[in-house]
Amino acid sequence: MVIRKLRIRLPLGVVVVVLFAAIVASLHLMSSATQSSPQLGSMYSLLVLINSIGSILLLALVVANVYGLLRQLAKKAAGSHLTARMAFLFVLLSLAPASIVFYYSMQFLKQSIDSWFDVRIDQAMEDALELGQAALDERMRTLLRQTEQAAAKLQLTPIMEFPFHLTELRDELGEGEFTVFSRQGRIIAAGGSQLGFILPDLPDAGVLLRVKQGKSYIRLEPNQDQNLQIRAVVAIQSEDPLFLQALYPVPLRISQLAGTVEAAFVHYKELGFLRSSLKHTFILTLSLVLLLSLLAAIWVAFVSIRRIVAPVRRLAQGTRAVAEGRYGHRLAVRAKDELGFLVESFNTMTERLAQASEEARESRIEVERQRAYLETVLSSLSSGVLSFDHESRLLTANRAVDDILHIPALDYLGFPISQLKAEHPYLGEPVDRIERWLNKGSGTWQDEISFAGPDGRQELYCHGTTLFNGGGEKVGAVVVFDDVTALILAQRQAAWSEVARRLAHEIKNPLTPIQLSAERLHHKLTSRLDARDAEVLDRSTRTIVQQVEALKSMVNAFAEYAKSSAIQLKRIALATIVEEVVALYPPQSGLRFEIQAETDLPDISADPIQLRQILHNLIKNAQEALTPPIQGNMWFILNRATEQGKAFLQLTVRDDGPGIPKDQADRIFEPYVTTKTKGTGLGLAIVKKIIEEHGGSIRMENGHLQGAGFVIRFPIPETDIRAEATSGGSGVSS
Amino acid sequence: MNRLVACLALFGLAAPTGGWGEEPAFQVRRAELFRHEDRSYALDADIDFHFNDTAAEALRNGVPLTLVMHLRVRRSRAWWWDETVVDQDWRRTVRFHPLARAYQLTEEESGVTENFAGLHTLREALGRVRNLPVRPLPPPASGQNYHAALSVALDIEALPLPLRPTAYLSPQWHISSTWFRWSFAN
Repeated sequence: MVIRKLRIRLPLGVVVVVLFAAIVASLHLMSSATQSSPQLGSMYSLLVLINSIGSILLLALVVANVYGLLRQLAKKAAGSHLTARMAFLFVLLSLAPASIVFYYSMQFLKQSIDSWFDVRIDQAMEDALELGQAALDERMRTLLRQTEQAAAKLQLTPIMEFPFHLTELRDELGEGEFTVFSRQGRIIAAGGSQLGFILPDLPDAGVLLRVKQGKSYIRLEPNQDQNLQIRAVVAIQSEDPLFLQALYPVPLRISQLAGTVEAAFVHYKELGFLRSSLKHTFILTLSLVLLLSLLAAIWVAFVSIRRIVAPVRRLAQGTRAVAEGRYGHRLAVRAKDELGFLVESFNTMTERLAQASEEARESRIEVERQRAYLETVLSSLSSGVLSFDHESRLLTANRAVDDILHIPALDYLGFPISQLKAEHPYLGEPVDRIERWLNKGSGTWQDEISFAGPDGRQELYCHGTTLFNGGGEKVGAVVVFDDVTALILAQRQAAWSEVARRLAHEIKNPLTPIQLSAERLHHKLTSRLDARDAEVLDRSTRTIVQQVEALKSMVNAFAEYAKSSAIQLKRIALATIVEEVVALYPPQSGLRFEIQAETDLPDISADPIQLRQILHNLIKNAQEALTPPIQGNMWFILNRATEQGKAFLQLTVRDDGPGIPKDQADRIFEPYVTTKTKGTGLGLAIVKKIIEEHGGSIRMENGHLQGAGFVIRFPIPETDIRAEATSGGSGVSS
Repeated sequence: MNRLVACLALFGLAAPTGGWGEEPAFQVRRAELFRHEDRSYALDADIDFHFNDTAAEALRNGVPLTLVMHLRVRRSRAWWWDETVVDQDWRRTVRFHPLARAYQLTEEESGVTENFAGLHTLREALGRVRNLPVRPLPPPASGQNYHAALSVALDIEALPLPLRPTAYLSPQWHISSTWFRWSFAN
């Protein structure tokens, strides 16, 4: 306890020390009072009161502490379990020995109090008193006889002589004082050793009553000085009864002896009477001592435990804070002991954790930033980028993939690439090729892949690289591909334009001299030759001229194809143009036309002359495909179409002719690709060129059972400015 | 055990000093203050003393009993609390002498003792208070009203120490009279 107290600092320490001092002093005083110390005897009740109040206060303190602890336990507060366990242990440790000591002290106390009393001592006391009484009784009887004799003498004496007789009596007996008094208590005469100093004290009324009835009275009694005296009262027989009282002092020695015996007897008797009270008082004192000490000890234990547990509690709170991710929590270091060291270490640890967490957060942000950047770069790329893991499962795909392959690529992340093939059969060729490269799995590769996409044939240019980690282990692959369809087409177109230009230049120039020379030959020689030869000449020159004309027209067609035409854009209604063109073809032309147009179709921005050219070319194409006696049908369907948020005016042109063989379908729009015996093979090439110059598109209609079908789309201009911009764009692409 | 004692102690503190609702063992039948020619006051009173069995047994076993007569005199004041002019105690101790088989009454103030053959005569003598000098009242002014009250009680604090806790907690030991009140004008 002392060590515990020393450990507690001011001012609580002082309070505790003072409290303990007060308790110990009070208990000591009470204990001393119990041992019948006369000065403290009067304070006993006050001390009991003070100690009881102290106990109640301490009890209240302990109860408050226990209540607080229970509440903390219920709240599962940090450190409450440790406090509870320590408090329980401490209470147990202090209560157990104290209870044992208390129990045996009580037993000892009871036994020792009981041992004070003995039947033999009891008897001896009684006997001693009786002995004293017997000794005094003998003396009293003698004195009574003397007094009675004196009364008898006085009976014969006149009242006037009483004082004289009384003095005589006194002298005769050598001791005592005598008083004669009337029934009313009036003193008639008195004589004796103490006479004159104080008034003789008279017997009480009860005695007088007895004496009046003729009974003499003799009694031993203590006087004012607590010495014994013998009082005898006898009646003096006369007409008016008088009484004689004699007071005989008991010899001093005998009185003292009797007093001692009596005092011992009284004390012993009193002790016997107070036996149970004594026990109770001792038990009360002992209990108060135990109660106060225990309660004080428990209270101090609570306070000390709280102080000891405080850093642990703070540590627990700090740990909880760290667990919740709050690293900024710093604990105050209040002690220099092991717990203080622990708290300091905890602070260092949280500081490091906070640093590490901050660094991790920063690097995470950095990584996130890098990833976002990469994603932005990838999504801005016009090339499709796919990455695969080591099992050829799709890991990433950028937006361009969606545009090029016409699939929602992000839906396939985590799936093997073959899944694409299963759900989009047109991707069979590219997927097979890429898969093959992936499975081969080493180094860098590149490939050109051609496949029939939903909008026609597409050409992909693919690069692939296998990815390895730092340890040289294969972790996947990345494939980058570009849609080079337009590029290849443009290249081919440029080549054809060059050919056409050269043809026009190289062939057209000699044609006119050839024609002129042939005509000149005909003109010069016809008159000189005979009829037969002239006939041959005429036929030959005509053939030359005709063929030259044919060559010229062919070369002109090429020139037309090659030249970049000047487009005069106007807002026009396509349906009107179609109707105008169709009207030029009578039923004798071998074709019957049908026009289906949605109402409220928007105008488009186009050159009407060129549009007519397109329509003429298409009709001519259909006408040429027909074998003459058979009547053909042709449909023009005009409607609105929307693809990927863009609005188009769509013209679908169909016929019920022989159609286009599959192997040529991909290249039908290239020059000199024709299925017919007639024509230059440039018709559809020119159509495509014009349409593309208008920013539109043309493709073969898929899924057509009979005849040929073309789907032509023109962009719908939102404003005139927009239309001009579109025409400018198309100029570049041509 | 500790708690029981604590509870008993608490109960003892709260216990009233009256007769616990029973018929009071002591009773003041009459009390009167009178003035001598020399203007000193004296008290006359008739009091019934009845010792119960517990007290009588304790007395026979040598335990001295101290009785306290308490007189209180207050002067009425119109605009203020009453002024206490007399607050006086008289103590009488009764003890038994086994050798003489006598009961002895001692006036604590004067030390004068008186012996009685029986408790009965002692009670009578004790109850007959005559001409008991009272501490002088302040110079009397005419027309003053005084309220006096007299009570008698056994003094527990004068009992032997071991008996005191028991006495405080036991109704048997709370022996006292009710206040006897009377008024007189000066």
